[in-house]
Amino acid sequence: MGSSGLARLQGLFAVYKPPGTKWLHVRETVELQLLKGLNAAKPPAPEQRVRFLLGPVEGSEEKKLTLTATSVPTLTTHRLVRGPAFTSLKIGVGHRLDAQASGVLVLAVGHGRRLLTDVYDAHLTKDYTVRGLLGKATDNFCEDGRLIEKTTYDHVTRELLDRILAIIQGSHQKALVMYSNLDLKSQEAYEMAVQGVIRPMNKSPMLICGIRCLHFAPPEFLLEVQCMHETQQQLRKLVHEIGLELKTTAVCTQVRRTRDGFFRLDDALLRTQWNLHSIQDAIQAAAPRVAAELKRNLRLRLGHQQLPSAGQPWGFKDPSAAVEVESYSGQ
Amino acid sequence: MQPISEEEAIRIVADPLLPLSSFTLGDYVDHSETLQRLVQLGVDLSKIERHTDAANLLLRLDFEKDIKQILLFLKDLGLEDSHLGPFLTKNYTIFSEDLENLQTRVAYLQSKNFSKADVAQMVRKAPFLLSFSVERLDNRLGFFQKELELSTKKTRDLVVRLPRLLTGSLEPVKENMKVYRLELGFKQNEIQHMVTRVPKMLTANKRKLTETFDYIHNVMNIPHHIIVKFPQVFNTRVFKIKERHLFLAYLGKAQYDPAKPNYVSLDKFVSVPDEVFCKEIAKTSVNDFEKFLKTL
Repeated sequence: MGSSGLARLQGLFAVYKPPGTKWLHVRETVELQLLKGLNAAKPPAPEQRVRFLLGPVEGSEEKKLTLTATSVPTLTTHRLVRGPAFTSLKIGVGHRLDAQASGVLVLAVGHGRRLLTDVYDAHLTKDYTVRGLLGKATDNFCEDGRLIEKTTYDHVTRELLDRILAIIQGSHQKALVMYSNLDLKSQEAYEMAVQGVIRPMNKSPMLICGIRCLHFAPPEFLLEVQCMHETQQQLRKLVHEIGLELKTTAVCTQVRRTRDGFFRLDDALLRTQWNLHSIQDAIQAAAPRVAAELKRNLRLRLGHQQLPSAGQPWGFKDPSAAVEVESYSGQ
Repeated sequence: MQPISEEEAIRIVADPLLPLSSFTLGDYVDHSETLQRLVQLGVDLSKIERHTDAANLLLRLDFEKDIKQILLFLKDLGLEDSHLGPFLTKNYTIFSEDLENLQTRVAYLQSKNFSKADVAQMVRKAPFLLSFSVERLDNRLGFFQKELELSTKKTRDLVVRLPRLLTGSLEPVKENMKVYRLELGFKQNEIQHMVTRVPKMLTANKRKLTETFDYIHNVMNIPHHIIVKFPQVFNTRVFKIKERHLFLAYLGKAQYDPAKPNYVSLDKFVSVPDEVFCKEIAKTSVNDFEKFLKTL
């Protein structure tokens, strides 16, 4: 019934946000669909209340009256009198996507909302596919903005583009190491660098962990970007700057998130799947992976904190918060 | 204080008092026959108690005197028992109307050649219809006949299909007519044809209407005379049209011109469910459609 429906609705799940809609609208639509599913459950049996009524005494010949306790059905808890069982649900949103971007959007329901802060503090990377168009420059770096400049792009080759992307990745690699505040001479830092997990564990500007060109057919090109602490408008600005580096201009036609932390495109639910059962199944499918990843990232974060700092102090987390995360990961 | 006998003591009824004021009808429902019978009919009290003074009105009514006459009148009109609940949830003020007024209005509608079944359907779909005076109903019917320049029979069919045209506001209808004529460029006879097929177009949201038309005319390149043949496109969500068109364009099957081969008719394009669309029109599986949607 309703209580078991709500019991299975605690945790994180991913949704595919279509382009052209605001993330708030997506969150509200998902909330409406979940409420519809929860309220459609069978109502419980009608309740009874006890009233003391006059009735004849059993087993006596005279007409004597006495009070007997009887259960009488009551209508105070009827659905038409009290209203629907669920009127609102609190759903939290992970890393947001702006209106023109599309892709994986992580949502959290019930107790899963507490895990959202831990997911944020894990500072995981995100994957995007970014489509660009050479030859135009607009004021908001998108195709529908006000046109500023038109250029030729015949001189652009695949090798030139790859070279530029390699330069960008190299410069961001240096920034990654700098913002992670690790003492490079220590053994732990060397091991982390070998595994490739060096990344900043607190606030930093947008950092690109990896960028490569998947497809190049002038004037269109398709990039795959792995980054952290980004906004989609900064990615569009990146496309504009790549155009400038190529001695031409470029606008961004599509920004699509393919991975947010450990949620991939396969886990994301499409609009037709935004209903109670699909979301409950998605939460259950994702729960073990969420717990494992958060545990791993907690260990990593504690590892970062134990290393001697080279200068600035990081954002300190007190040990009680660490213990709290441990207990949720164990669920 | 004088001593009393056992029998007298038992006969004293000392239930706790009813609350003098409350914000919900649930406190009074167990003690009021009227409310219990309304709940059994299917009236949603939780929705009615949100309107100010509605709950006070209901509590003061008596089932035998006031409510029963109106219910019998509604049943004579042709409303089924299962429809009474939703009807009364929407229009509970009908209990304060005079029975003669209601009968006059029904007589007026029948004088305009609406059949008994038509009147029953109109009252069911637009519960506030009988709360409108004869004069107001007459004005509204006249408005639709003049604005759309339809014959009396066609106006009658239109109003029976969508009775909330008579009870709703007329401003959106006037705005939409201007949008169709001036902004979208349809001729009067084209608008008449579309509105008789899909009456909901008259009360659609202006912004959504222009967005849909912009996509269909400028991106899908469908001319006016084909849109007129399939007015259902104005009744569907824009995202559905965009997704399906982009999928067909990706497969190379986006052909909406009846003269050319592989023609896709707009009514099938818009109204069939996803599985039928994928199998018949796109000739692929639903999985492929879902994979494509995740690349948008």
